[in-house]
Amino acid sequence: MSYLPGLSDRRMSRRGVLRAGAVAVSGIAGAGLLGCASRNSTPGTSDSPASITAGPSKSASQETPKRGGVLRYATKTNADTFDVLTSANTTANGPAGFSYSRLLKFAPGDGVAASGAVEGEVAEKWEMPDSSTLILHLRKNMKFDARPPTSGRVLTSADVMETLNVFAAKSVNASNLINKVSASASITKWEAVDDSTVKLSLAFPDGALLSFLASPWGVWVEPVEAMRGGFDPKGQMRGTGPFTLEEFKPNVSYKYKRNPDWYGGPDRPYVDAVELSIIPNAAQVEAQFKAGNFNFGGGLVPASDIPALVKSTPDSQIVTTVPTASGVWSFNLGAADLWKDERVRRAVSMAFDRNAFADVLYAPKNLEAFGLKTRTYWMSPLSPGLGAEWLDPSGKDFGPSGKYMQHDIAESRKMLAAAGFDDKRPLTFELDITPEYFPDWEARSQATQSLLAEAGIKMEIFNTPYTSDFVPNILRSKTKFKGHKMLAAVSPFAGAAKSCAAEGLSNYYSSWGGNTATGSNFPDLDKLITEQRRTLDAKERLAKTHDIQRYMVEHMVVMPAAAVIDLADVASKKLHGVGQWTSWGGGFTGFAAPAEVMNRYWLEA
Amino acid sequence: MSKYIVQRLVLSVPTILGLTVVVFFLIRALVPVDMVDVATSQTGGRDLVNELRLKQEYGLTGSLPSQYVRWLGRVATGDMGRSFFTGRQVTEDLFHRIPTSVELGFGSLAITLLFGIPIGLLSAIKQDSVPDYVARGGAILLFAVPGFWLATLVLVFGSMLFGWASAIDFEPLWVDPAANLKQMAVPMVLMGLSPAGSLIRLVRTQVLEVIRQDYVRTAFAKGLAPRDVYVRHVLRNSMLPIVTVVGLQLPRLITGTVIFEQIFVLPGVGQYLVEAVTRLDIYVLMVTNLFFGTTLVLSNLVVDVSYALIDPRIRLAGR
Repeated sequence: MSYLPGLSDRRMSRRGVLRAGAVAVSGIAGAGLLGCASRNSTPGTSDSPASITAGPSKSASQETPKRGGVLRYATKTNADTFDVLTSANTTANGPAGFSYSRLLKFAPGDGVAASGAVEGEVAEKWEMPDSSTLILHLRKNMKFDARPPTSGRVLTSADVMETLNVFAAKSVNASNLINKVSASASITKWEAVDDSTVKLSLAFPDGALLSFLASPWGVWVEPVEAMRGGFDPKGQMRGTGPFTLEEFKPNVSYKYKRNPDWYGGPDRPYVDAVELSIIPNAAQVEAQFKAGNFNFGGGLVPASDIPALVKSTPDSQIVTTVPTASGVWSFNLGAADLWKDERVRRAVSMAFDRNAFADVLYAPKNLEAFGLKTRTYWMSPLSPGLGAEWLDPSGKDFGPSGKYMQHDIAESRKMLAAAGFDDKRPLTFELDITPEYFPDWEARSQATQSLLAEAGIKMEIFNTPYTSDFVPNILRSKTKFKGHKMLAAVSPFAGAAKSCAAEGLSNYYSSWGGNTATGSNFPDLDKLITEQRRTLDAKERLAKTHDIQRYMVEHMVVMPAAAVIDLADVASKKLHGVGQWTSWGGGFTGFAAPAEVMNRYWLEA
Repeated sequence: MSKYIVQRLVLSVPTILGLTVVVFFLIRALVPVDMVDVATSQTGGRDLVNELRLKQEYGLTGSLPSQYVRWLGRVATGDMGRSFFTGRQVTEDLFHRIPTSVELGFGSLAITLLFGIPIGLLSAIKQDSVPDYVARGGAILLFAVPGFWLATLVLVFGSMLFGWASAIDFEPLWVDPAANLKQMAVPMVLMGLSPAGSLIRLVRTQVLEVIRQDYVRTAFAKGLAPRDVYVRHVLRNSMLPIVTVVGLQLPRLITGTVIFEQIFVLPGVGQYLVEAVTRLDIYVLMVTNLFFGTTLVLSNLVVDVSYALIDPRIRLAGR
C-alpha cells in the first residue's frame, strides 16, 4: 500500500529526476563522506558574487586564535534529562558533550578528516599488560565544576568507579561495553587501584575497546555527588568538560560558559560562551542567521537553502566537513522469499545509480558555483565518515564484488530475468522509509523509485511512522518485518558513524545486534564480525573490516543505498575553525564536537 | 446560578474520568507499542534486563486494566505519573508550560476579537459598500491562509527585506514583561488573524439579522445615537451565537499553538503534547488529556453561564 496515492505511481525519466534535483528536498543528514576537509578552494567563479568566499581565505592553521565572543547557533534537540548515564534516549548526549568528559576521546583532524585515533581525556594514558587487562591512568589535574557540591575538586577513580557502576546497571548503551549485559562486549570487572588508576578486566581481547571508551554513546564520567544525592543529575550538570551549563530553558535554549579550569586550557576554549537555541524550524534558523543573531548554522539549514542564504547574508561563508549518517536497505529476509535470492538483491543494487541519486539530493553544482570542489562518495555498508575503516566501493581496492554496486541496467535486467522477473512479471516491492531518520524521505524515495524503474523494477513507497510501525515492525524485527506486504526497508544503519566500525557491525549487522538488519541469516558474517572485534593488531583489524565490507556487498546482505557529498553549512566569516577542525564520525555538531573541535573555534572581535 | 454551576462541576467528574479511560485504552490498544523498546532503539544495543527494570519503574508491566488502575490509585494520592523520558512529574512539566500557551492563546483570542467584532460590525452597518466588500474579501483571505504559513512568510520576508528576526530568548511575563511581549506579539497577531476572518463573517451575519428587527428601528426612531443603538442593542443581541463559537474554541487556543510554539521558540503545552504523542510518553498523554478535558468542560460551563449574563431572559436549568 502506498501512503502517497498517486505519487508512487508516477515515474520520472532520468532527465526528470535530474531536473527535479533543483527543487529536491535536501537532507543534510545524508550518508557519510570521507571529505577532504582542507579548504583551500578557489573563491567564486565568474557567476558568483565576488563578496562570497567559500571557506577561509587562507590556511586557517596559520591564524592566531583569539579569545572571546559567544558562539550562537541552534539545535533541534530538547534535552529530556541531563543524566546521560540513565537517559532512555540520546537527548542527554548533546549537553554531556559540553559539560562532561569521556574516559578517552578521538583526536580531531586539522585540515583533514579525523583519523579515528584515540587520545586521552579523563584517562591521560593507558596500558595493556596483557590482552585481558586495560589499566587507565587518570589525569591528576582534572577538576569538576567550581559550583557546589563539586566545588572544583579533582576527579578521582571513585568517580570513574561509580560512573561505571551506574553505566553497567542502567545505561541503554551498556551492551557495547559490559560483558554481563552482552556477551559480545568485553568488560567484566572494574576496580580502583588507587585514586588515579582504574583497572578494567576483559572477557576477551577487544581490539575496539579504546574506540568504544571514546565513543560519545559510551561512558561520560559523572561526579560521585550525582550518584549520592549531592545534586540532581537530571536537572543539573557538574562536569569536567570544556563548558559549564549555566542556564537551560526547556524548548528554548541552553547557555554554556567557558570552563576556565578545563584540562585542555588555559587558552581553550577560545569562545567565552556558547548559546544554543532550540529551534525545530529551518526558516527561523535562517532568519536568525540573516539577522546576525547566529554565527553558525548548526547543521539545521537545508542544503538547498545554503547558497541563497550565503548570497544574501553579508560576511557569511559556506563551510564543509565530513557528514555523519547513512542509509542502507535491510531486506525482509525472514518473511519474504523474494529476497532470499542473492541475484535479486544484487540486481536492485545494480539498477540504482548512486551518482545520479547524489546529484538529485545534494545538488553539488550549487556548491561548486561557490568554488567548492565536491566529490560524490558511495557508502559501503559502512559510512565514509569512518575514515580508513570505510572501503570505497567504487575503488579498485574493493575487488570484484564492487561490481554489484556499479550502475549497470543491462546486467541488472539479466539477473532479474534469471530470477524469473521480466517486464510481464516485474519485480515489485515496497520501500518502508521513516521521516524520523530521513526528513528528505520524499525526495529520496521518489528519486530511487525513478532510478529503479529503468530496470523495470516497481517500487512502492510507504511512509512508515517511526514509533508505531518502524521500530516494532522493522527495526526490532530481526528481518521479519511485520504487517507489511513486503519487502525492503530503509534504515539508518551503520554507516551511522558512531565510535568505530565494530560498533556499527555489532549493533546493526550481527545476529545479536539490537537493531540487526541481518537477523540470523548470515552466520558467516557473525563469525567475521566476532573475529574483527577480537583482533588486537590495528592493521589486521582494518584488513578484516575491509573484508567484511567485501563479503557484505558480494552477498548484498544489505544494500548501501546512499551516496553523498561533503556536508555543508553556513557560518559567519568571523567564526574560524569550523570546517578546519573535524571530529571523528563527521558533522559539525555531534555529541563529541565540543570536546574535540568546538573548543578550537574562535571569533574575531 | 451557583447551584447550576455546582451541578455541572459534579457531573464533569465522570466525564473526565471516562475521558482518561478512553485515552489510555485507545492509545495502548490501537498502538500496542513497547514504549521502552522505542526509546532504547536509538542506540542500537539491547539490554533486556535494563528494559524490564524501566518498565517496572514506570508501571508498564502487567495487563492494561491493572496498569490503568495503578495509575488511578496514584492520582488519588496526587501522583499523576512521571514522564518516561524526563523522569519528572508530568504536572511539574505541564504547569511550567501552561502559562505560555494560555498567554499565547488568549492573546491571539484578543486579537481575533479586536479585529473580528468591530470589522464585522462595520461591514454589516455598511452593507454592500466598499468597506463591506473589502472586509468580506479580507475575511476570506485571512480565513483561507493558514496561520503557520503566514508565520513562515513573515519570518522569511522579514529577514530578507528588513534584516528582522523574532526574539527567541523566552522570558515569562512575570519575569520580564517587555521581553515577553516583544517575543509574543508577532505570534499572537499571526495566530489571531485566521480566526478573525471567520469571526468577521459570523459577526456580520448575526448583526445583519438583528439590525432588521423592529426594536432596532424603534431605537433609531426614538432618536438614540447610532453608536448607542449598534453597540448596546444590536451587538449585544448578536452575541449569543458568537459567544458559543468563541467559547468552543477556547481549548483549541491552548492546543492549537504547537506550530507557532515551534516557529517562534515558545515553551508551551502544544510542543510538549506533540512530543508525547510522537514517542508515546503515556503518562504525559494521560495527564495532558485530563487537563484539556477539564479545560473543555470548564469552558463549556463558562459559555453557558455567560449566556445568562448576556441575555437575562435565559434561565439556566435548575435555577
